[in-house]
Amino acid sequence: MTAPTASKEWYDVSGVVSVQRVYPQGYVTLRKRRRARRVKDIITSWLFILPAMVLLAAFLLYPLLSSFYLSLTDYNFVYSPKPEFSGLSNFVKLARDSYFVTAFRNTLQYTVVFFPLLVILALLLALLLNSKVKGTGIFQTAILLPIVVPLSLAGVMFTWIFSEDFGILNHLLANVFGLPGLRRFWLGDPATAMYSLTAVGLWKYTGFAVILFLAGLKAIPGDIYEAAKVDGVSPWQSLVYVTLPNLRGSFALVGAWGIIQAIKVYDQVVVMTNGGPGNSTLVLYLYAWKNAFEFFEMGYAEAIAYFTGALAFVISILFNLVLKPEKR
Amino acid sequence: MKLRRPRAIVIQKAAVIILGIFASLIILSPIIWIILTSLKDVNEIYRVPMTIWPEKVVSTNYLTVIRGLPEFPIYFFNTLKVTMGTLAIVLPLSAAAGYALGRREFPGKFLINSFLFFVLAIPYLIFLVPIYIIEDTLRLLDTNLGLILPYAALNLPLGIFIMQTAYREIPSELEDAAYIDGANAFQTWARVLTPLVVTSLAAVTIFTFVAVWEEYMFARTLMIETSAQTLAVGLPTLKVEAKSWAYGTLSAALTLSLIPIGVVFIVLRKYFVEGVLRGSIKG
Amino acid sequence: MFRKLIFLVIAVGILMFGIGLAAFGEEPKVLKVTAEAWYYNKYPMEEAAKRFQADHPGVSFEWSKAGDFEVAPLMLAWSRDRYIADIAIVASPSEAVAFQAKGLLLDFEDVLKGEYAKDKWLKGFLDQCSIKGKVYTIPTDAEVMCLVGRKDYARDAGLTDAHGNIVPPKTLDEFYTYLKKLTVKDSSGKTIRYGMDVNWSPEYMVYTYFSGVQASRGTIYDDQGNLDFSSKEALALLSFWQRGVKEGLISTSSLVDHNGPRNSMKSGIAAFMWEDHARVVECGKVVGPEKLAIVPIPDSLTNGTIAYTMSLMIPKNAKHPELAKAFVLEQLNAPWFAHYLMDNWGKLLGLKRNLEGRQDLPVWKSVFQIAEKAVGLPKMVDHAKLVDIMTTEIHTMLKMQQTPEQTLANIRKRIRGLNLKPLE
Repeated sequence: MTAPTASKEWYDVSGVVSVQRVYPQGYVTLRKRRRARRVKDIITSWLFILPAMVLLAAFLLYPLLSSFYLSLTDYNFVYSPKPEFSGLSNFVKLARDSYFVTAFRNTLQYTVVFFPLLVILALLLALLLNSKVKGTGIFQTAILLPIVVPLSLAGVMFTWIFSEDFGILNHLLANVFGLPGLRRFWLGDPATAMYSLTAVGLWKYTGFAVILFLAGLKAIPGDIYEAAKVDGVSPWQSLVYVTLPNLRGSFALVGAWGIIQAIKVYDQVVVMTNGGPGNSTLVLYLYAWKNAFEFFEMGYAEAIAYFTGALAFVISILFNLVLKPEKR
Repeated sequence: MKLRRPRAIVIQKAAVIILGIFASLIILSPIIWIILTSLKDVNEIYRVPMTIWPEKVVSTNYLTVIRGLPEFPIYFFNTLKVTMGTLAIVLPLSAAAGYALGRREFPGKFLINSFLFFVLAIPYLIFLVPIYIIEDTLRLLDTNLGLILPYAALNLPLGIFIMQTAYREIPSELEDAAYIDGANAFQTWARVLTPLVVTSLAAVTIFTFVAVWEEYMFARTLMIETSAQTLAVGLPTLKVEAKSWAYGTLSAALTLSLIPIGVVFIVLRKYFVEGVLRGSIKG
Repeated sequence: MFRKLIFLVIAVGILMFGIGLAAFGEEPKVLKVTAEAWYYNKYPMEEAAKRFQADHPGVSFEWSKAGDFEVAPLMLAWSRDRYIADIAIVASPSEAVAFQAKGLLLDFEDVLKGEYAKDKWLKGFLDQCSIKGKVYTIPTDAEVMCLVGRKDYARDAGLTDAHGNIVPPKTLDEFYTYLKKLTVKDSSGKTIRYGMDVNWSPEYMVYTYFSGVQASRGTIYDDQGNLDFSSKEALALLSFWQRGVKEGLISTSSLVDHNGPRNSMKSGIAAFMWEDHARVVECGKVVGPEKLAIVPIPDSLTNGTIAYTMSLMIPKNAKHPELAKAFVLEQLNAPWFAHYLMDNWGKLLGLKRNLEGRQDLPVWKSVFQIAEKAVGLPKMVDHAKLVDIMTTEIHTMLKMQQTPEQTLANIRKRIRGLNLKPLE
């Protein structure tokens, strides 16, 4: 997209040049009036932005600062009268808390499985939907439908599907495909619980990533393919050498977005396993939430939240740096 | 130049269709299974060995939801109210802020944009505890407004980004013409520029709508009483509620809750995809 | 533009002010009750309200349904003096103690006289509800931890006496042989009918565990007077469970769903269930009451088991505390209400008079036998954290990721900083 360059030009125009256009000769008067105009301009700009800023200040900026302070305090919401400053002790506690380490490991495990599968599945489905065959509209509807299914409700659906004795998955494996050996207690077994939750996340989020890839595919000019065809390039080669490199921007977008979705995994975990069995599906979000709203340890919860936030922030920045789209 | 043979094209088309059907079926299967379950009698649902197709299609589960589950309409209308309320705040505010950031120069702009970018990249969990404390103080817990305000704040950054790019792309001649005609900034924004960015407003609507409709963590924390809960929070509590053998009614409730948004999605799918495309490229 | 913005600001201000007013505003004589949603489905609350209104004209009721987590939100609300309801029906007295410790509850001392005098209640249950001699909650929905068994399966396995009753196992080891006989596996070695389903869900964990400890030791404390996570009996209990799971005799359905054991019982894929006595009535409705029997946990007839009750609480910020107390005693402990609970859901209430005429029914006879020796859990401020730790560690063990010894050691290590001192 070339928007940034266009806008830059526009800024220059808005300040001096456009005014010059209106008063081509009065350059000196203009300098006098410019200051007054400028102040009025600034006020007008701020009036436009003020309502949004008030809301953002109250519900994002203040919480951001307040939670940072809280993360440095010992604050039990029910038992302590007010937050007591305790320095970095919450963060020191993190390192020693084996449940936190488990939650961190589980979140990473989720991410490591979720993320590549998300990218691959979404790319394949996007390529499928991008083919110029009649009827892909229906497929598109079906493939994208999970986008509008709330993840928590998907969790309820999949709990039923994964049920050991009454679940369709075990039934299909054992009685329809004839593979009784693959029957599992999907959510009750630490070996499979996390993967089951990952599957639900993929079901829900792949559709959205498909759209992001579709956007990238649609933006590739058709004449590149024509040229490739003329050169006798096979479809496979054109995928590898034409399509994929041109999807760089989409990869960056899906990457940054997908990583955040993975790190903030929460909804289906709460609904389906609530961290169990044992703490084999305890994830960072859930552990922070439990500390805050079950044990009322707001300070410690914010320390976990800040850790999670920093993790997501750093990874998404790295992603943007590595896959930054080349300027054309 | 090589011409593709028709046979190859037919094979390719057939492959696309077969793969498409296969992928669609796999993705739709959980929803189909829930619908099938909702049509079964409770004894059939919990029978071992199980059946896939209902032996006898019954409507009892749906009747139970409609007659015996007064929470269901409450959840539904709460969700609707919260979604509409959030949109009512996000749309005008993101349009106004997007205009200022996209078309005007003023001190603090870079700071605001950096803040918006920063907020987009960090998980919302960080905000939850302070927002809980704020709402506890303001007595906003268990009220619809108590969800609308944080949802509006959380969805504004993306909305502002989308609108900012949209306003920026309008050629400046239009705006200059309006100024020469004597219009002030507000009039220019409201009457000249905003009608040109309706498609982007639609994208913001779609993003916000989907995000609010399915939000779980904030809703679960800030809305404790059934009377204030949304579908995403309320329906799962029916599962954990100490009532076993509930999957018949639960499936019926799930199916009913997915119908409205599913229908909206199927009807508006094209606009939806375009909206997300637009939003994703710009945002 | 200015005007529009100012208008917006004012509108938001008015809206928030209005909501503030609505939160503070008071309607005359509305008695608000909060409980988890299932409570209203199971119990005749509307009927109780109607009867109460006949005696106290002008009172109306509002039912508030709590979501999926009960104690914590109330704690958060009441500790900030936020009004939720006049009566809360939640949790066990051992959890309710946290509220009392913060001084958030009204006591019932002034109304426990005459027909409601303290000696008119089942002692075990009322004792659980008192702290330092004062009664802060009224027991409701009381249960004792025991085994529920399938008589027909036991008969086929030769575990019944001449009358077709299940012979109670005397020790965990003997019980283990029962489970072996009752478990049915298919050719691939996969269990298709479990000997037992134990409720290890977070909701039940402490009651299940301590019922086992109490039954085998006669106390839930170790030799130092701490909660027992070190005795050889505790170790034997965990080993029994782990071995049972490992060999496919015990189902772990409760690890993901606290309704799991009930579902197993109802669909006939478990021969025993280690849960509370009330399930015998509930599951009996599905499989036939004649097929089910209550069986004491081995040794619990001599050593006792754990009794569990939910509690009716009235917070200090209740708007109509007197009416609330009256409703709790007059209707929610009325004979008709008690009989409804017993007949339909197998739950007990606290007043002795409500049991009259029912002691001789076979089901209740065995319940009372077990209940006689049942004890309540101690009241601990850090109950919620204890539950979390025990659930995590014992689930990890049941998934064969640690030995029973390690499990006990981990629990001991993690509870070190908690406030688990029993309040009496």
